[in-house]
Order: sequence, then structure tokens, then C-alpha cells
Amino acid sequence: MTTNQSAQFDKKPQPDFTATDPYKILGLSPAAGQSDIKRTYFALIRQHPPETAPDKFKIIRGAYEKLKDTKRRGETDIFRPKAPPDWQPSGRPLTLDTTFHATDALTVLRHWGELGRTDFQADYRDVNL
Amino acid sequence: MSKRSKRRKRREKQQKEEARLTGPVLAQQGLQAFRQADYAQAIKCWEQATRKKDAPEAIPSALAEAYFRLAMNHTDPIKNMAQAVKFQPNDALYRYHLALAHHRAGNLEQAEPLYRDLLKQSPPFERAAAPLAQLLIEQKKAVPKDPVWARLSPAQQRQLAAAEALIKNKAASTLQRLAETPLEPIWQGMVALALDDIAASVTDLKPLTTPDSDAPPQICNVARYYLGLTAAQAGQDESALAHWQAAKNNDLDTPHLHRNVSVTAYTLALKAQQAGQPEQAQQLLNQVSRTAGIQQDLRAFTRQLSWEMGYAAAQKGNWQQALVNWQQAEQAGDNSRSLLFNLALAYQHQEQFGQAAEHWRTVLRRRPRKADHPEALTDQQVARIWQNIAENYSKAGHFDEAVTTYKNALKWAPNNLDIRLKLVESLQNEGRWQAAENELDRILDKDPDNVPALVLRAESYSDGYFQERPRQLWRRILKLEPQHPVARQQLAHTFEVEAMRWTEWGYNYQEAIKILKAGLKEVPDSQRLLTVTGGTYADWDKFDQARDYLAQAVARNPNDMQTLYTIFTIWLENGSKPDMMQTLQKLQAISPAPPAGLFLDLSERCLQYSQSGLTEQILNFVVHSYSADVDARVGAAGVYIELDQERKALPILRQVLKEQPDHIPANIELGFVYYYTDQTRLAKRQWDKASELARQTNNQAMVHRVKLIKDEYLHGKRPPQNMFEALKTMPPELLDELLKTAPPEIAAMLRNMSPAEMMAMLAGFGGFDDDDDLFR
Repeated sequence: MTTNQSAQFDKKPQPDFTATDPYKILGLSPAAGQSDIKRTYFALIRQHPPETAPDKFKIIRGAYEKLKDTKRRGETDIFRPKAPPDWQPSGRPLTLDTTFHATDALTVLRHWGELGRTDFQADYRDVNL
Repeated sequence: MSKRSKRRKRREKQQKEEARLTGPVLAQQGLQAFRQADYAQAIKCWEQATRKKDAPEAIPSALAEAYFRLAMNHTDPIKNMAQAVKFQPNDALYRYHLALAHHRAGNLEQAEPLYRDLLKQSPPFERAAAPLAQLLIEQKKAVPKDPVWARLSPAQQRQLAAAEALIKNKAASTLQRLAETPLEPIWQGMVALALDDIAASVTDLKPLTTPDSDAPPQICNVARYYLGLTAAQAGQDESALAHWQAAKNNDLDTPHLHRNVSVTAYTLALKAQQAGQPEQAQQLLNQVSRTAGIQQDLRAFTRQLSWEMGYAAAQKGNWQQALVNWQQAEQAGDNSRSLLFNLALAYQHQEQFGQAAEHWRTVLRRRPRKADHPEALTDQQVARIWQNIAENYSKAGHFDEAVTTYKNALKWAPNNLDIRLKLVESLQNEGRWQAAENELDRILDKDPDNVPALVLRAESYSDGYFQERPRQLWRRILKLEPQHPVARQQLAHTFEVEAMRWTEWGYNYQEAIKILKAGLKEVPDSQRLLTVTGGTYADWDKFDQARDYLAQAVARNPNDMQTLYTIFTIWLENGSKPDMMQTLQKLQAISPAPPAGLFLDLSERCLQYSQSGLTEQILNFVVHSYSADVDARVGAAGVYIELDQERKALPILRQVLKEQPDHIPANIELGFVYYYTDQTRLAKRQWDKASELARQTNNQAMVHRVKLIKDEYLHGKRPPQNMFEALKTMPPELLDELLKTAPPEIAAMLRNMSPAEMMAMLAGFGGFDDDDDLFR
């Protein structure tokens, strides 16, 4: 192993204990080699030993069981949900309409003064019969 | 009486009452309603008063005021103001408000002459000047040239000049000049906007949008729109969207507002999606208008978000949500292979196996065929997916499809014995025994020591008369896997079956014991075989040997309730009370306690063998040890009744009904207590109550059961004698309830069966057992 590779594996994996995907649980890429899986597994159970973190250990162990050999991994891989495709908007720029619209002035005009007033109680007259 | 005549009578009565009321009375009633702001009622009373000869003179003016106030309450303003004017045609105020109503409704042609008349009268009605000037600007007429301009105050002239300049897109110099004059904030702000003076516009417009602003809603909306625009130009997209949403929610409806909401929501949605927040992106996307000119992008984006949300849900194990999201992506036009794959997976996780199988088939049909394709499947993978399809078909009950698809899987992996074994199971499920045998031969040819195949073969032989063939197979399996639990159990079973033939057909206990002992030599720790051997000795009246073997059986697992139950029945059948008592004590000592039903069953068996004392002892135990179990106590009361101990059943049932008055079986049993103590009327009342409770809870089985009890005990009707009669007399709703859990095709078949066909079918099952109780 080169120094670079070694440094790479010395980095702590980023597991996701809420995931169901065994690769995500172990914090690995689906392209990881079998030896990477094993190394990561041992690194993780050192961090989360069964005595102090039994739940996390169980999750790590469960994920490893699905990937520990090529047969099981093949079975796991074949029934893993496919990730969403890469998608980019068409690139056509969407621009805001920043112009001043005379129609808005017309709207204001239509609601300005007495036309926009709603309370005309001052105009009410008393009724005496 | 018909509805029409009822209506007519009511109307006539009303008319008579109205006729009795005088004009002044009606006037006062109207006034009372008017003072309570019920203007519609006031109008009704006063209009009736106008038809009276003694109506007060002031009624028309009162009516005009009531119509005016109704119009001011936003109730059909044009119609109501027209009425007010009808009653008071010379009243300038009412005519002015009629003009305003027309103006607000956009009826400028009707409004203009009204305004002009008001200004022409003497003295002129000056309030009409400003709205008339507004109307002329709306009509794009030159207001300063109109005589009305001179009637406006200098302040009004400044505001309306600004409005005209903005509406007519006048030159910047004009706007600049106007901006330097004192204007109301809305016009000041709009002029500043038209002059691109963003800072000034914000200062003017912001106060209009505060909660304490008294600006009319639409003016407030326009201010919000432009404040949003200034925020967007400053890069504050969230703030811009909030302003625009507020304006939109308050009924501002302009194309540029919709466009800007859409563009900003879309931009923010993209940011949310890139930040891995698809739910938030979806919420933002919901605000994007379909007319925004980005339909294609919108559709693709929605699809993508559904994909991403489904994937995130699946990653968290929430397959139900994943399925919903991926179905949405599919509906939005995604028919990619990857989505199909995910849908198949989601259907499978949601146990919709038929759908899953069909989707997997499509996944395989659309797989890339070129070997160098990045998503190409290997032969093993294809075989595995075919196998998965077959498993889904099996779980969906489509065994014929399962057989076909397992065969497809084998085409891609002919040496895969696991798949071939599954094929055997499917063939057996389909009843194709010979085909299953042939497949087993193929497996065992390739792998003679294949344990699962040997197990399947042994199981298929176990139903036959001769036990030697399966026995040899079980022995072979145990040689390969000495602790194989099924093989051990089944090997013992072959000896039990063979021994039972000697006892049941020839009472040849000696031969039976010889076989059982041979079995025990091979499976010495078989609890079942030890129990059967003990039972056989007991039947042979060799009680010492029996006790010895039965003790050995108990010693294997002292808490095994099935073994103890069997031992109890052995001693019950052989009449050995001390052994029964000893076994009962062992059963009562089991921890955790067995279900109460076991003891109730034992008590009924004791009753069958006329062991009344023991029956009572067991029932006492149930009542005291299962005091929290209402059903157990009711069951015990039922057996007490069978034992003619109604006086013991009564307090138990009364206590149960005190705790749970709605307990249907308790009510039924109490009915029996009354019946057997010659209180038939009380029995009927109790059964009626049970029936009512059953109806209330829609418990069809109980409703029918009570009916049968009443028919038999109260009306002397013969109860159904067998299953056919029971099915024939069953109400359709109960049959539906019973068939609810049946597979749909079986339920449909039973529903459509004629009586003759049903009789033939039931006869095919080997007849009926009179003890069958369909309703328990």
C-alpha cells in the first residue's frame, strides 16, 4: 500500500446509522473494494464496540454481513435502489420581470381616494319614524 | 299532506298574520331591525308597511337609507344603491354612491354621467370631482383639459398628475418634476420606482405594508409587489417571494406577479434541491405557475424531485413513501429502466407481490443486451432476478406463473440448485408431483447429498402409507446433518404413524411398542415418541411402564404444555385420577401460565368423561387464576352451565357484566342461566340484548348465533344439522364477513355456488362433523 492509500484509510469513515443501505451505513462508496469494506468495518467496530454502543454495533454488523463476501455483496448490490439520475435544468435563463408596469399605477388609481375607501359610516343618516 | 299543500298553508297563515299588522307596527318592527343592523329585515318590514294605508310618510326615506347601508356592507352594491336612489331620487349622496358602485364595477359609461350631474347641480356635489377625474384618467382622456380639473384641490391635482404620468408612461423629466412635489407615499414610491430610485421607493412603500397601515388592500398589494421587486434585485429571493406571496394571497392577480413568483420559487427550489432538500424544493415548486413558460423544465424538475424524495425515503426504510414518490415520477413521464427497477423493489417491500413481479419482468425485458453496456446484467444476475420474480409470484399465490419463471431462471443458471429447489416447491404447491419428483431427481443426480432436496423428497413420501421410504431419507439427512431438527422430528413421526396403525386397527400393543422402542433407539430424546410410548403402555394397561415413559417425556421439557396436555388426556381416558391430578398440578405450575383456553378445554374433556369433581376443580382454578381475563371467566361460566351448576355461573356472569355490560358472550350465557332455571322471559330479554349489542358492533356472526339460539330454545326450531345446512341458512352479510379473509377467487367461487354444487363440494371434503361449530 502506498502512503497516500494508507492515509486515505486512516481517515475516519463517515457512517450513517439512519440509512438502510449498507454502503451508507459504513460510509463507503458502492465501488469500494472488498478489503476496504473489511478495513472500514473493523475501524467502525473499534469506534463503536458492542460493550459501549450495542445498537450501533448491531447496525454496523448487519451492514457488514450484507457485504462481507462477494456472494452476499452481489445479492445486496442487485437489489439496491438505483440512485436518482443526474439532472440539470435546461440552462435557459429564467429572468425576473423588473419593469415598472403602468397597469399597476392604474390599479392604484382605481383604489385611490373614495374609490378605495370602505368605511362610509360618516355618510350614514339616522332614521326617525 | 303533500309538501306543496303544506307550503301553501304556511303561506296563507303568514299572509293572514301580515294582514293583521298595521303600518305603524310594521314601521316600528323595521326600525328595530334597522337599529340592530339587520337591514334586509328592516327593508322587508318597511316594504310591507308601504302596502298599508296607514304607513308613516317617512318610510321611503327610511327604505333608501336601509338599501344604502346594505350596499355599504358589500351586498350587491349596484342593485341596492339603485333601490336607494329609486326611493330618494333627489338625494345627491345616494346618487354619488351609485356612481361609485358603477365605477368600482368598471361601468365607466354609467358612472361618468352620474358624476357630471352631481357636479352640475346647485350647489355642486364636490366629492364627485376626484372620482370623475380618476375615471377620465382611466379612459386615457386629457384630464387637465376637462372642467373637472379646476374643481380639484391642488393636492388632488398633484396626485392625479402623478397617476396620469405613470399610466401614460410620460418622460423621466416629467416624473422627476412630479417627484419633487409633495405626493402621497404610494404615488411618491411609484414615481421613484419609475425613475429607478430603489432606495426612495422602499422608504415610501414600506409603511403602506405594515399591519397598522390604513391603505386599501389593493394599494397595499401593489406596494408589496414593488417591495418584492426591490428585494429580488438586491438578491434577497426569500424576502421577495414572501412579499409576492402576501400580495398574491390578498388577490393581486397580475401576469408579472405570477411570473416573478414562479421564477423566484423555481430558483429557490433549484437551490434547495442542490442542497439536498427535495421536500422543500417540492413545496417551492408548488408555487410555480403552469403559465410561467417553463413547463418542460418544471415537469422534468418535478420528476427529479419525486425520484430524489423516493430515494431518500427508501434509504430510511420508508418504502411506502418511496413507492408514492416513484409512482409520482412515473406519472410525470419518467419511464426509465432505473425507475422501473425502483418501483419493482418498492412494490416488493410493500408486499404488493403481483405488481412487483410484473415490474421486475419489465425490468428484465428492457435490460441492455450488449455485454459492454455499463448496466449490462450477467447471466447470474438475470437468473437471480427471474428467481425473484418467481418468488413474488409464489407470494402472490400465482404458482403457475412461479413455475414458469423459475424455469426461466434455470435457463440462465442451469446449475443453480437453489433455484431448482424452489421450482420443486412451486411444482408441489401446484400439485404437479411427478414434475416435482423429476426436478428432485435432477438435483440429487448432481448433488446426492443435497439436504434440502432430500427433505423435500422425504416430505413428499411422508403422506404415503409406507413409512420405510421417508424413514430412510430422514436417516440419510441425519447422517449428513445429525442435528437437523425437522429430520429428527419427522423420523420419530414415521415410527409414531406406524405404531398407531397397530394400536388403532388391531389393538396390537406389543407390536406398537416394539416399533416405538425401535424409534426411540434412533431418536432417544424425542419427547413426542416418549409420550406416545407411555400412552400406548397406558392403553395396554401397563401403568408402571406408562408412568416411566411419560416421566421421561416430561423430564425432556417440564414446561411443554402440549406434552402435559397429552399426558393428562392419556390418564383421563384411562381413568387414573391420581395421575390426572399430578399432571394437572404440573400444568398449573407452568410459568408463564398457559392460555386459559387450555384449562377450559381440559374441563370440557373431563365433563365428557363424567369427571364432574375434576371439571369443577379446573373451573375454580380458571376463575381464580385468570380473574383479569373476562373471556376466560365467561368460558368457565359456560362450562358450569353445562355442568348444571347455574348457581355458580350466575355470580361470575353478573360480575363480568358489571365490569363490561356490552360483553356479548356473557349476555348469551346469562340467557342460558335464566333458560335452565325456567325463567324463559328473562332468557329472551338477555338474548335480545346480546343481539342488539351484536348489531350495534356489526358483529354478524354473533347476530346469527343469537338467532339460532332463540330459534332453537324459544321457538323449538331444529338447529342446522351440518355445515351445508349452516351455510344455506347463513345470512349473506355473514357469509361475506366469513369470506373476507378467504382468497378472492375462493370467495367468488363460494358465493356463486349453487346448493347442489356446495353439497357436492362439502361431501368431497369427507362429510360433516356434527360437532363443528361455525360460530365459535
